[in-house]
Amino acid sequence: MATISPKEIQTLDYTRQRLAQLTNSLDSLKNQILASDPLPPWSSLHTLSQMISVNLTRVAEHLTEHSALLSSLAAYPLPSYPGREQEPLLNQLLRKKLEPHVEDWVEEGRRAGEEVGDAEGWMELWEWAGREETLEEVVKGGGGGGEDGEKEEEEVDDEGGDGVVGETGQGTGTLQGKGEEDKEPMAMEEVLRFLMKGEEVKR
Amino acid sequence: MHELLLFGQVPSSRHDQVLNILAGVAAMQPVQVLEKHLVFKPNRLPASARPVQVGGAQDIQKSQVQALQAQNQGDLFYLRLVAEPSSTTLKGQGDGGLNAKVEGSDEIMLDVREANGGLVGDIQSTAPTEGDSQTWTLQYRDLPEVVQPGRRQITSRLMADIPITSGDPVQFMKALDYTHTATYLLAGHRFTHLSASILLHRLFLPAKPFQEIFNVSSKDISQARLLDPSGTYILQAAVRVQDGSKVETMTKGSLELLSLKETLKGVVELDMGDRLALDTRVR
Repeated sequence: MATISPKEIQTLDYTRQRLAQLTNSLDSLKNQILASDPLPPWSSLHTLSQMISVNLTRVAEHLTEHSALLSSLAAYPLPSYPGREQEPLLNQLLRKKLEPHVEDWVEEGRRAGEEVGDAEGWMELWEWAGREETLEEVVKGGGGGGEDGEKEEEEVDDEGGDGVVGETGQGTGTLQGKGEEDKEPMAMEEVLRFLMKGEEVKR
Repeated sequence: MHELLLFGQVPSSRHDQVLNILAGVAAMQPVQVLEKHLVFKPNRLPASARPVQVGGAQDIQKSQVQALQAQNQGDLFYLRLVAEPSSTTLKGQGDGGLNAKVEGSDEIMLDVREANGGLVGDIQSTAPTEGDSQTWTLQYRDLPEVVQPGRRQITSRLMADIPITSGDPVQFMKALDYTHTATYLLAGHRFTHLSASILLHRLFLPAKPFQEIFNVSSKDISQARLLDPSGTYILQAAVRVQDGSKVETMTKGSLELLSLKETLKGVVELDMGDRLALDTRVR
Protein backbone atom coordinates (compact mmCIF):
# COMPACT_ATOMS: atom_id res chain seq x y z
CA MET A 1 0.00 0.00 0.00
CA ALA A 2 1.37 3.26 -1.10
CA THR A 3 0.78 6.22 1.15
CA ILE A 4 -0.81 9.26 -0.38
CA SER A 5 1.09 12.47 -0.54
CA PRO A 6 -0.18 15.65 1.16
CA LYS A 7 -0.76 17.09 -2.31
CA GLU A 8 -3.07 14.24 -3.17
CA ILE A 9 -4.92 14.71 0.10
CA GLN A 10 -5.32 18.35 -0.85
CA THR A 11 -6.87 17.30 -4.16
CA LEU A 12 -9.28 15.04 -2.34
CA ASP A 13 -10.20 17.78 0.05
CA TYR A 14 -10.74 20.14 -2.85
CA THR A 15 -13.13 17.62 -4.41
CA ARG A 16 -15.04 17.52 -1.16
CA GLN A 17 -15.32 21.29 -1.04
CA ARG A 18 -16.52 21.54 -4.62
CA LEU A 19 -19.13 18.88 -4.07
CA ALA A 20 -20.28 20.55 -0.89
CA GLN A 21 -20.73 23.83 -2.73
CA LEU A 22 -22.72 22.12 -5.45
CA THR A 23 -24.99 20.38 -2.94
CA ASN A 24 -25.45 23.67 -1.12
CA SER A 25 -26.60 25.51 -4.21
CA LEU A 26 -28.87 22.65 -5.24
CA ASP A 27 -30.32 22.65 -1.76
CA SER A 28 -31.05 26.35 -1.74
CA LEU A 29 -32.82 26.07 -5.10
CA LYS A 30 -34.90 23.22 -3.74
CA ASN A 31 -35.75 25.16 -0.61
CA GLN A 32 -36.71 28.26 -2.52
CA ILE A 33 -39.03 26.33 -4.77
CA LEU A 34 -40.59 24.58 -1.82
CA ALA A 35 -40.89 27.69 0.29
CA SER A 36 -42.42 30.21 -2.10
CA ASP A 37 -45.75 29.95 -3.75
CA PRO A 38 -46.32 29.97 -6.71
CA LEU A 39 -42.66 30.28 -7.68
CA PRO A 40 -39.69 32.38 -6.61
CA PRO A 41 -39.13 35.47 -8.74
CA TRP A 42 -37.65 34.95 -12.14
CA SER A 43 -34.43 36.76 -11.29
CA SER A 44 -33.59 34.64 -8.24
CA LEU A 45 -34.29 31.43 -10.17
CA HIS A 46 -31.95 32.66 -12.83
CA THR A 47 -29.19 33.47 -10.33
CA LEU A 48 -29.50 30.09 -8.67
CA SER A 49 -29.44 28.17 -11.90
CA GLN A 50 -26.33 30.08 -12.93
CA MET A 51 -24.66 29.27 -9.61
CA ILE A 52 -25.50 25.61 -10.03
CA SER A 53 -24.15 25.50 -13.54
CA VAL A 54 -20.93 27.24 -12.46
CA ASN A 55 -20.51 24.73 -9.62
CA LEU A 56 -21.24 21.82 -11.91
CA THR A 57 -18.63 23.02 -14.37
CA ARG A 58 -16.05 23.40 -11.62
CA VAL A 59 -16.72 19.89 -10.31
CA ALA A 60 -16.53 18.45 -13.79
CA GLU A 61 -13.27 20.32 -14.52
CA HIS A 62 -11.77 19.19 -11.28
CA LEU A 63 -12.78 15.56 -11.78
CA THR A 64 -11.37 15.39 -15.29
CA GLU A 65 -8.15 17.08 -14.25
CA HIS A 66 -7.43 14.58 -11.52
CA SER A 67 -9.18 11.60 -13.05
CA ALA A 68 -5.98 9.50 -12.98
CA LEU A 69 -5.54 9.91 -9.26
CA LEU A 70 -9.19 9.71 -8.33
CA SER A 71 -9.87 6.53 -10.28
CA SER A 72 -6.81 4.78 -8.84
CA LEU A 73 -7.80 5.49 -5.25
CA ALA A 74 -9.52 2.86 -3.17
CA ALA A 75 -11.01 3.28 0.24
CA TYR A 76 -10.41 0.84 3.03
CA PRO A 77 -11.11 1.24 6.72
CA LEU A 78 -8.35 1.44 9.30
CA PRO A 79 -8.65 -0.85 12.27
CA SER A 80 -9.18 2.21 14.45
CA TYR A 81 -12.28 3.28 12.50
CA PRO A 82 -15.45 3.03 14.62
CA GLY A 83 -17.10 0.51 12.32
CA ARG A 84 -20.02 -0.35 14.55
CA GLU A 85 -21.21 3.20 15.25
CA GLN A 86 -20.66 4.49 11.71
CA GLU A 87 -21.87 1.48 9.79
CA PRO A 88 -24.06 3.23 7.22
CA LEU A 89 -21.30 5.70 6.34
CA LEU A 90 -18.79 2.86 6.16
CA ASN A 91 -21.07 0.97 3.82
CA GLN A 92 -21.47 4.00 1.62
CA LEU A 93 -17.73 4.58 1.47
CA LEU A 94 -16.96 1.00 0.60
CA ARG A 95 -19.65 0.64 -1.97
CA LYS A 96 -18.21 0.22 -5.48
CA LYS A 97 -21.39 0.30 -7.49
CA LEU A 98 -23.89 3.15 -7.49
CA GLU A 99 -27.06 2.70 -5.52
CA PRO A 100 -30.04 1.56 -7.63
CA HIS A 101 -31.94 4.83 -7.49
CA VAL A 102 -28.80 6.77 -8.32
CA GLU A 103 -28.27 4.49 -11.27
CA ASP A 104 -31.75 5.38 -12.44
CA TRP A 105 -30.88 9.07 -12.26
CA VAL A 106 -27.73 8.57 -14.25
CA GLU A 107 -29.67 6.65 -16.88
CA GLU A 108 -32.31 9.34 -17.03
CA GLY A 109 -29.73 12.06 -17.43
CA ARG A 110 -27.93 10.16 -20.13
CA ARG A 111 -31.13 9.69 -22.07
CA ALA A 112 -32.02 13.39 -21.77
CA GLY A 113 -28.57 14.22 -23.01
CA GLU A 114 -28.94 11.93 -26.00
CA GLU A 115 -32.26 13.48 -26.90
CA VAL A 116 -30.82 16.96 -27.37
CA GLY A 117 -27.51 15.56 -28.50
CA ASP A 118 -28.45 14.97 -32.14
CA ALA A 119 -28.41 17.82 -34.61
CA GLU A 120 -32.16 17.96 -34.97
CA GLY A 121 -32.69 18.31 -31.28
CA TRP A 122 -30.28 21.18 -31.14
CA MET A 123 -32.04 22.91 -34.01
CA GLU A 124 -35.33 22.53 -32.22
CA LEU A 125 -33.91 23.87 -29.01
CA TRP A 126 -32.40 26.88 -30.71
CA GLU A 127 -35.49 27.66 -32.67
CA TRP A 128 -37.28 27.81 -29.40
CA ALA A 129 -34.67 29.45 -27.26
CA GLY A 130 -32.69 31.53 -29.71
CA ARG A 131 -35.63 33.27 -31.22
CA GLU A 132 -36.09 36.15 -28.86
CA GLU A 133 -32.41 36.92 -28.86
CA THR A 134 -32.04 36.92 -32.62
CA LEU A 135 -35.18 38.96 -33.02
CA GLU A 136 -33.81 41.55 -30.70
CA GLU A 137 -30.74 41.71 -32.83
CA VAL A 138 -32.73 42.14 -36.02
CA VAL A 139 -34.72 44.93 -34.46
CA LYS A 140 -31.62 46.74 -33.33
CA GLY A 141 -31.06 48.15 -36.78
CA GLY A 142 -30.27 45.01 -38.68
CA GLY A 143 -27.99 43.49 -36.07
CA GLY A 144 -24.26 43.30 -35.99
CA GLY A 145 -23.83 39.98 -37.75
CA GLY A 146 -23.12 39.44 -41.40
CA GLU A 147 -25.72 39.04 -44.12
CA ASP A 148 -25.91 35.29 -43.92
CA GLY A 149 -26.52 35.33 -40.24
CA GLU A 150 -29.40 37.68 -40.63
CA LYS A 151 -31.07 35.60 -43.26
CA GLU A 152 -30.87 32.54 -41.11
CA GLU A 153 -32.42 34.36 -38.23
CA GLU A 154 -35.26 35.48 -40.38
CA GLU A 155 -36.01 31.98 -41.54
CA VAL A 156 -36.17 30.76 -38.01
CA ASP A 157 -38.47 33.62 -37.20
CA ASP A 158 -40.85 32.87 -40.05
CA GLU A 159 -41.18 29.22 -39.27
CA GLY A 160 -41.87 29.88 -35.66
CA GLY A 161 -44.51 32.45 -36.45
CA ASP A 162 -46.53 30.45 -38.95
CA GLY A 163 -46.84 27.56 -36.65
CA VAL A 164 -48.74 29.48 -34.05
CA VAL A 165 -50.90 31.71 -36.14
CA GLY A 166 -51.94 28.94 -38.48
CA GLU A 167 -53.04 29.35 -42.05
CA THR A 168 -53.87 33.02 -41.83
CA GLY A 169 -50.22 33.88 -41.66
CA GLN A 170 -49.60 32.71 -45.18
CA GLY A 171 -51.64 35.23 -47.09
CA THR A 172 -49.23 38.10 -46.90
CA GLY A 173 -46.22 36.10 -45.90
CA THR A 174 -45.36 35.29 -49.49
CA LEU A 175 -43.86 38.69 -50.04
CA GLN A 176 -41.33 38.63 -47.24
CA GLY A 177 -37.97 37.33 -48.37
CA LYS A 178 -37.63 39.99 -51.10
CA GLY A 179 -34.68 41.51 -49.39
CA GLU A 180 -36.76 44.33 -48.02
CA GLU A 181 -34.77 44.43 -44.87
CA ASP A 182 -31.99 46.61 -46.14
CA LYS A 183 -34.22 49.55 -46.88
CA GLU A 184 -35.22 52.29 -44.55
CA PRO A 185 -38.87 52.27 -43.63
CA MET A 186 -40.99 55.05 -45.04
CA ALA A 187 -41.90 57.87 -42.72
CA MET A 188 -45.24 57.42 -41.04
CA GLU A 189 -46.37 60.83 -42.27
CA GLU A 190 -45.78 59.88 -45.87
CA VAL A 191 -47.78 56.69 -45.52
CA LEU A 192 -50.65 58.47 -43.82
CA ARG A 193 -50.61 61.19 -46.45
CA PHE A 194 -50.85 58.54 -49.11
CA LEU A 195 -53.68 56.82 -47.26
CA MET A 196 -55.66 60.03 -47.25
CA LYS A 197 -54.88 61.60 -50.61
CA GLY A 198 -53.21 58.97 -52.68
CA GLU A 199 -50.21 61.17 -53.36
CA GLU A 200 -47.04 59.17 -53.49
CA VAL A 201 -43.88 60.89 -52.42
CA LYS A 202 -41.18 60.29 -54.98
CA ARG A 203 -37.92 59.26 -53.50
CA MET B 1 -69.48 59.18 -35.99
CA HIS B 2 -66.08 59.88 -34.50
CA GLU B 3 -62.95 57.86 -34.79
CA LEU B 4 -60.14 57.72 -32.23
CA LEU B 5 -56.85 56.53 -33.64
CA LEU B 6 -53.33 55.52 -32.76
CA PHE B 7 -50.68 54.46 -35.22
CA GLY B 8 -47.48 52.47 -35.07
CA GLN B 9 -44.96 50.91 -37.41
CA VAL B 10 -43.75 47.32 -37.40
CA PRO B 11 -40.71 46.20 -39.42
CA SER B 12 -41.54 43.24 -41.63
CA SER B 13 -39.07 41.04 -39.77
CA ARG B 14 -41.16 41.43 -36.65
CA HIS B 15 -44.51 41.00 -38.36
CA ASP B 16 -45.11 37.39 -37.34
CA GLN B 17 -44.07 38.03 -33.79
CA VAL B 18 -46.37 41.03 -33.48
CA LEU B 19 -49.16 39.05 -35.09
CA ASN B 20 -48.74 36.39 -32.43
CA ILE B 21 -48.67 38.92 -29.64
CA LEU B 22 -51.77 40.66 -30.94
CA ALA B 23 -53.52 37.31 -31.21
CA GLY B 24 -52.69 36.79 -27.58
CA VAL B 25 -53.77 40.26 -26.49
CA ALA B 26 -57.03 40.13 -28.39
CA ALA B 27 -57.58 36.45 -27.63
CA MET B 28 -58.53 35.73 -31.20
CA GLN B 29 -57.03 34.50 -34.42
CA PRO B 30 -56.28 37.26 -36.92
CA VAL B 31 -58.89 37.96 -39.57
CA GLN B 32 -57.43 38.47 -42.99
CA VAL B 33 -58.17 41.81 -44.59
CA LEU B 34 -57.83 42.65 -48.24
CA GLU B 35 -59.25 45.93 -49.45
CA LYS B 36 -59.12 47.91 -52.63
CA HIS B 37 -59.08 51.64 -52.03
CA LEU B 38 -59.88 54.20 -54.71
CA VAL B 39 -59.09 57.78 -53.83
CA PHE B 40 -61.25 60.47 -55.36
CA LYS B 41 -60.56 64.15 -55.57
CA PRO B 42 -63.39 66.63 -56.01
CA ASN B 43 -63.19 69.05 -58.87
CA ARG B 44 -63.67 72.62 -57.87
CA LEU B 45 -66.13 74.42 -60.06
CA PRO B 46 -64.24 76.82 -62.28
CA ALA B 47 -64.76 80.40 -61.31
CA SER B 48 -66.68 81.18 -64.47
CA ALA B 49 -69.18 78.43 -63.80
CA ARG B 50 -70.00 79.75 -60.42
CA PRO B 51 -73.23 81.56 -60.12
CA VAL B 52 -72.41 85.19 -60.50
CA GLN B 53 -73.80 87.39 -57.83
CA VAL B 54 -75.72 90.27 -59.28
CA GLY B 55 -77.76 92.92 -57.67
CA GLY B 56 -75.60 93.47 -54.64
CA ALA B 57 -76.57 92.52 -51.13
CA GLN B 58 -80.23 93.07 -51.79
CA ASP B 59 -80.32 90.14 -54.13
CA ILE B 60 -82.76 87.48 -53.16
CA GLN B 61 -81.38 84.07 -53.84
CA LYS B 62 -83.06 80.79 -53.88
CA SER B 63 -82.03 78.63 -50.98
CA GLN B 64 -80.67 76.06 -53.41
CA VAL B 65 -78.32 78.55 -54.97
CA GLN B 66 -77.21 79.68 -51.58
CA ALA B 67 -76.38 76.15 -50.56
CA LEU B 68 -74.41 75.69 -53.73
CA GLN B 69 -72.42 78.81 -53.11
CA ALA B 70 -71.69 77.83 -49.55
CA GLN B 71 -70.39 74.55 -50.82
CA ASN B 72 -68.15 76.28 -53.28
CA GLN B 73 -66.62 78.51 -50.71
CA GLY B 74 -66.14 75.83 -48.11
CA ASP B 75 -63.50 73.17 -48.03
CA LEU B 76 -63.65 70.24 -50.34
CA PHE B 77 -62.58 66.84 -49.14
CA TYR B 78 -61.08 63.78 -50.71
CA LEU B 79 -63.30 60.73 -50.62
CA ARG B 80 -62.42 57.10 -50.69
CA LEU B 81 -64.22 54.18 -52.23
CA VAL B 82 -63.29 50.97 -50.52
CA ALA B 83 -64.07 47.58 -51.95
CA GLU B 84 -63.89 44.56 -49.76
CA PRO B 85 -64.37 41.15 -51.24
CA SER B 86 -67.16 39.34 -49.50
CA SER B 87 -66.14 36.54 -47.21
CA THR B 88 -67.00 33.99 -49.87
CA THR B 89 -64.50 35.43 -52.33
CA LEU B 90 -61.80 35.52 -49.76
CA LYS B 91 -62.23 31.83 -49.24
CA GLY B 92 -61.92 31.34 -52.95
CA GLN B 93 -65.45 30.36 -53.76
CA GLY B 94 -66.33 33.76 -55.20
CA ASP B 95 -69.56 33.48 -57.09
CA GLY B 96 -72.15 36.13 -56.50
CA GLY B 97 -73.44 35.29 -53.12
CA LEU B 98 -74.77 37.49 -50.42
CA ASN B 99 -73.33 40.78 -51.52
CA ALA B 100 -74.31 40.52 -55.12
CA LYS B 101 -74.72 43.76 -56.95
CA VAL B 102 -78.23 44.16 -58.15
CA GLU B 103 -78.18 45.49 -61.67
CA GLY B 104 -81.50 47.10 -61.91
CA SER B 105 -83.67 50.12 -61.85
CA ASP B 106 -84.41 52.31 -58.90
CA GLU B 107 -87.57 50.41 -58.43
CA ILE B 108 -85.73 47.23 -57.63
CA MET B 109 -83.37 49.10 -55.36
CA LEU B 110 -86.28 50.33 -53.34
CA ASP B 111 -87.70 46.87 -53.27
CA VAL B 112 -84.48 45.48 -51.96
CA ARG B 113 -84.32 47.98 -49.18
CA GLU B 114 -87.84 47.33 -48.05
CA ALA B 115 -87.82 43.68 -48.71
CA ASN B 116 -87.56 41.00 -46.14
CA GLY B 117 -84.95 38.33 -46.43
CA GLY B 118 -87.05 36.16 -48.70
CA LEU B 119 -87.47 38.76 -51.37
CA VAL B 120 -83.77 39.59 -51.40
CA GLY B 121 -83.10 35.98 -52.04
CA ASP B 122 -85.53 36.02 -54.94
CA ILE B 123 -83.87 38.97 -56.61
CA GLN B 124 -80.46 37.45 -56.24
CA SER B 125 -81.55 34.29 -57.87
CA THR B 126 -83.15 36.06 -60.79
CA ALA B 127 -80.51 38.71 -61.38
CA PRO B 128 -77.32 37.06 -62.50
CA THR B 129 -74.20 38.62 -61.09
CA GLU B 130 -70.93 38.94 -62.93
CA GLY B 131 -68.82 37.48 -60.23
CA ASP B 132 -68.73 40.84 -58.59
CA SER B 133 -69.00 39.75 -55.02
CA GLN B 134 -67.46 42.71 -53.32
CA THR B 135 -69.00 45.27 -51.07
CA TRP B 136 -68.32 48.92 -51.66
CA THR B 137 -68.13 51.57 -49.02
CA LEU B 138 -67.80 55.28 -49.48
CA GLN B 139 -65.53 56.63 -46.78
CA TYR B 140 -65.30 60.18 -45.59
CA ARG B 141 -62.65 61.25 -43.12
CA ASP B 142 -62.43 64.74 -41.70
CA LEU B 143 -59.30 66.64 -40.79
CA PRO B 144 -58.33 65.42 -37.29
CA GLU B 145 -59.18 67.71 -34.44
CA VAL B 146 -56.49 69.87 -32.92
CA VAL B 147 -55.03 68.27 -29.81
CA GLN B 148 -54.19 70.78 -27.12
CA PRO B 149 -50.85 70.18 -25.47
CA GLY B 150 -51.38 68.34 -22.23
CA ARG B 151 -54.52 66.62 -23.48
CA ARG B 152 -54.69 62.96 -24.44
CA GLN B 153 -52.40 62.31 -27.36
CA ILE B 154 -54.91 60.63 -29.61
CA THR B 155 -55.99 61.38 -33.15
CA SER B 156 -59.68 62.13 -33.19
CA ARG B 157 -61.67 62.87 -36.30
CA LEU B 158 -65.13 62.93 -37.71
CA MET B 159 -65.82 60.06 -40.06
CA ALA B 160 -68.53 58.43 -42.08
CA ASP B 161 -68.71 55.10 -43.80
CA ILE B 162 -71.54 54.85 -46.26
CA PRO B 163 -72.19 51.35 -47.52
CA ILE B 164 -73.09 51.25 -51.18
CA THR B 165 -75.74 48.68 -51.75
CA SER B 166 -76.22 48.91 -55.46
CA GLY B 167 -75.22 50.66 -58.62
CA ASP B 168 -71.81 51.46 -60.02
CA PRO B 169 -69.92 53.39 -57.37
CA VAL B 170 -67.26 54.63 -59.77
CA GLN B 171 -69.86 56.08 -62.12
CA PHE B 172 -71.53 57.63 -59.14
CA MET B 173 -68.35 59.37 -58.11
CA LYS B 174 -67.89 60.65 -61.66
CA ALA B 175 -71.39 62.01 -61.62
CA LEU B 176 -70.56 63.84 -58.40
CA ASP B 177 -67.67 65.46 -60.30
CA TYR B 178 -64.90 63.64 -58.48
CA THR B 179 -61.77 62.47 -60.24
CA HIS B 180 -60.14 59.20 -59.46
CA THR B 181 -56.56 59.92 -58.42
CA ALA B 182 -55.11 56.78 -56.91
CA THR B 183 -55.67 53.12 -56.29
CA TYR B 184 -54.06 51.02 -53.66
CA LEU B 185 -54.56 47.68 -52.04
CA LEU B 186 -54.54 47.26 -48.32
CA ALA B 187 -53.59 43.81 -47.10
CA GLY B 188 -53.17 42.64 -43.57
CA HIS B 189 -54.94 41.32 -40.54
CA ARG B 190 -57.55 42.66 -38.23
CA PHE B 191 -58.11 42.00 -34.54
CA THR B 192 -60.83 43.15 -32.23
CA HIS B 193 -59.88 43.89 -28.68
CA LEU B 194 -62.76 45.13 -26.50
CA SER B 195 -64.07 48.10 -28.49
CA ALA B 196 -60.87 48.67 -30.39
CA SER B 197 -60.23 47.49 -33.89
CA ILE B 198 -56.58 46.70 -34.49
CA LEU B 199 -55.40 46.62 -38.07
CA LEU B 200 -51.91 45.45 -39.00
CA HIS B 201 -51.48 46.12 -42.67
CA ARG B 202 -49.34 47.09 -45.64
CA LEU B 203 -50.21 49.09 -48.72
CA PHE B 204 -49.64 47.84 -52.24
CA LEU B 205 -49.78 49.65 -55.52
CA PRO B 206 -51.39 47.44 -58.13
CA ALA B 207 -49.63 46.78 -61.38
CA LYS B 208 -52.81 46.96 -63.40
CA PRO B 209 -55.00 50.05 -63.75
CA PHE B 210 -57.81 50.02 -61.27
CA GLN B 211 -60.60 49.26 -63.74
CA GLU B 212 -59.15 45.86 -64.38
CA ILE B 213 -59.05 44.89 -60.77
CA PHE B 214 -62.60 43.88 -60.57
CA ASN B 215 -62.32 41.42 -57.80
CA VAL B 216 -59.50 41.86 -55.42
CA SER B 217 -57.70 38.63 -54.94
CA SER B 218 -54.43 37.60 -53.45
CA LYS B 219 -53.22 37.23 -57.04
CA ASP B 220 -53.39 40.98 -57.49
CA ILE B 221 -51.36 41.39 -54.36
CA SER B 222 -48.62 39.15 -55.60
CA GLN B 223 -48.28 41.30 -58.71
CA ALA B 224 -48.52 44.56 -56.86
CA ARG B 225 -45.60 46.55 -55.59
CA LEU B 226 -45.22 47.67 -52.03
CA LEU B 227 -45.78 51.35 -51.39
CA ASP B 228 -43.09 51.20 -48.74
CA PRO B 229 -40.17 49.28 -50.24
CA SER B 230 -38.90 48.32 -46.80
CA GLY B 231 -42.06 46.28 -46.29
CA THR B 232 -42.84 47.95 -42.99
CA TYR B 233 -46.28 47.28 -41.60
CA ILE B 234 -48.61 49.89 -40.20
CA LEU B 235 -50.47 49.13 -37.03
CA GLN B 236 -53.64 51.11 -36.57
CA ALA B 237 -55.74 50.93 -33.45
CA ALA B 238 -59.13 52.55 -33.73
CA VAL B 239 -62.13 53.08 -31.51
CA ARG B 240 -65.31 54.46 -33.03
CA VAL B 241 -67.61 56.65 -31.05
CA GLN B 242 -71.15 57.11 -32.29
CA ASP B 243 -71.63 60.59 -30.88
CA GLY B 244 -68.50 62.69 -30.75
CA SER B 245 -70.23 65.47 -28.83
CA LYS B 246 -70.67 63.27 -25.79
CA VAL B 247 -67.61 63.89 -23.69
CA GLU B 248 -68.22 60.82 -21.57
CA THR B 249 -68.08 58.29 -24.38
CA MET B 250 -65.17 60.05 -26.04
CA THR B 251 -63.23 59.86 -22.78
CA LYS B 252 -64.08 56.20 -22.36
CA GLY B 253 -62.94 55.47 -25.89
CA SER B 254 -59.69 57.39 -25.49
CA LEU B 255 -58.90 55.71 -22.20
CA GLU B 256 -59.41 52.31 -23.76
CA LEU B 257 -57.12 53.18 -26.60
CA LEU B 258 -54.49 54.50 -24.20
CA SER B 259 -54.66 51.33 -22.12
CA LEU B 260 -54.10 49.34 -25.29
CA LYS B 261 -51.09 51.55 -25.98
CA GLU B 262 -49.85 50.73 -22.50
CA THR B 263 -50.38 47.01 -23.07
CA LEU B 264 -48.44 47.09 -26.31
CA LYS B 265 -45.61 49.13 -24.84
CA GLY B 266 -42.35 47.51 -25.80
CA VAL B 267 -44.02 45.63 -28.64
CA VAL B 268 -45.15 48.48 -30.82
CA GLU B 269 -45.01 52.13 -29.94
CA LEU B 270 -48.42 53.54 -30.73
CA ASP B 271 -48.74 57.25 -31.26
CA MET B 272 -51.14 59.73 -32.68
CA GLY B 273 -50.91 60.45 -36.38
CA ASP B 274 -49.59 63.71 -37.72
CA ARG B 275 -52.61 65.96 -38.08
CA LEU B 276 -51.55 67.57 -41.31
CA ALA B 277 -50.55 64.25 -42.83
CA LEU B 278 -54.10 63.09 -42.18
CA ASP B 279 -55.50 66.19 -43.85
CA THR B 280 -58.18 65.27 -46.36
CA ARG B 281 -58.92 68.74 -47.63
CA VAL B 282 -58.27 69.71 -51.18
CA ARG B 283 -55.84 72.55 -51.53
